[in-house]
Amino acid sequence: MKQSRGEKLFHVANIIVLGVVALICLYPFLYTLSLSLSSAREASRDGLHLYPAELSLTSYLVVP
Amino acid sequence: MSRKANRPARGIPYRRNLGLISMALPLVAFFLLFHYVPMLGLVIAFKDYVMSDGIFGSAWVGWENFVRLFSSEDFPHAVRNTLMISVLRLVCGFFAPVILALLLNEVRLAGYKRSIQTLTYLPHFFSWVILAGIFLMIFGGGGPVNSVVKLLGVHPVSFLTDNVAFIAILIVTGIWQGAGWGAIIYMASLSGISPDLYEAAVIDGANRWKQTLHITLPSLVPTMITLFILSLGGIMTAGFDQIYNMYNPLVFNVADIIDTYVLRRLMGLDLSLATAAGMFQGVVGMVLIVGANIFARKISKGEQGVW
Repeated sequence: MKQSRGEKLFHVANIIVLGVVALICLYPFLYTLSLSLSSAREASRDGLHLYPAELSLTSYLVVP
Repeated sequence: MSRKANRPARGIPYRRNLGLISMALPLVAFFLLFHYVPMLGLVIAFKDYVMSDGIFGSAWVGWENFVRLFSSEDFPHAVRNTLMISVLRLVCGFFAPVILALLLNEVRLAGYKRSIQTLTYLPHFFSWVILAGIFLMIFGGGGPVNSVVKLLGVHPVSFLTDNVAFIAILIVTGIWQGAGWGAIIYMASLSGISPDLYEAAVIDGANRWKQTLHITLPSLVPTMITLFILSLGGIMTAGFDQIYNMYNPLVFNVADIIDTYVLRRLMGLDLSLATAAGMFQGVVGMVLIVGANIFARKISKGEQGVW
């Protein structure tokens, strides 16, 4: 089926919007993961924590 | 098809359905044990409960606890806040899962669609303890939102202690957490729509938008009605987990709900008052759900409704 220009535009916008929504939903997962892999000092710092800083596995050794 | 046609002519053939009945028994036992038996504890709402005297030994006081509840200043306030937050949640958030499901339905790339769907219901599995920690960080004094505000040259705003901003954050984060999960049920009903309808619509010259408006949306209405009735039952519980983990004394004025009030009373060991508050909450929730169902059945002439 041939798509009109408006429909094409909608599909592209739709994919982008849903992608952004999905990334926002992924964030808490990323946050907890990078916090758990950071050192205690880095983890208690305020901030977005997108990736583990001062990589450390101590929390995983302590919990079990 | 009317409901009566489904019923067997003479009672339920118990003997023949023994297998099914035995499978249902654990669930029935669960509800009896954990939902119905504890209801007997509601008697302490009508007693002056003293722990050392026990439930049976404490003196009956009739409706005094309820009188005390409604003549206090905090409880009517908590009821007002609960209703306000719940209604805002319903008004702002009820259609969010519908919109999400409709948008997902338009995505043609099957793999992309599935991954987006999985990602959007991820927040549902996070406890509010973690999510609240994240949001308090994001909206807090030194958080990213305030960094942007500072970049714009405006003074930092205290979002978490401002009444209006706090409620807005509650509602928006609540929608964010629940929309993906809520969309699952709509996706299921979307896949149940007969493709014949769309084919006929295309022959009649309807574009995607017209198809959505005249086929997809009307097909979702029964699901929406069911979910709306069910959500009315929760109108007296405005989301305890979220609020308890996010609020602070500065926003008690708008964020103290029935559940947080009950918890404070319990911690103050005023068990009779807390039970009376909980009972009021439960009874109103039940009346709402039953009333909404009767209403839905009446206006649709018995076609719709949860039961």
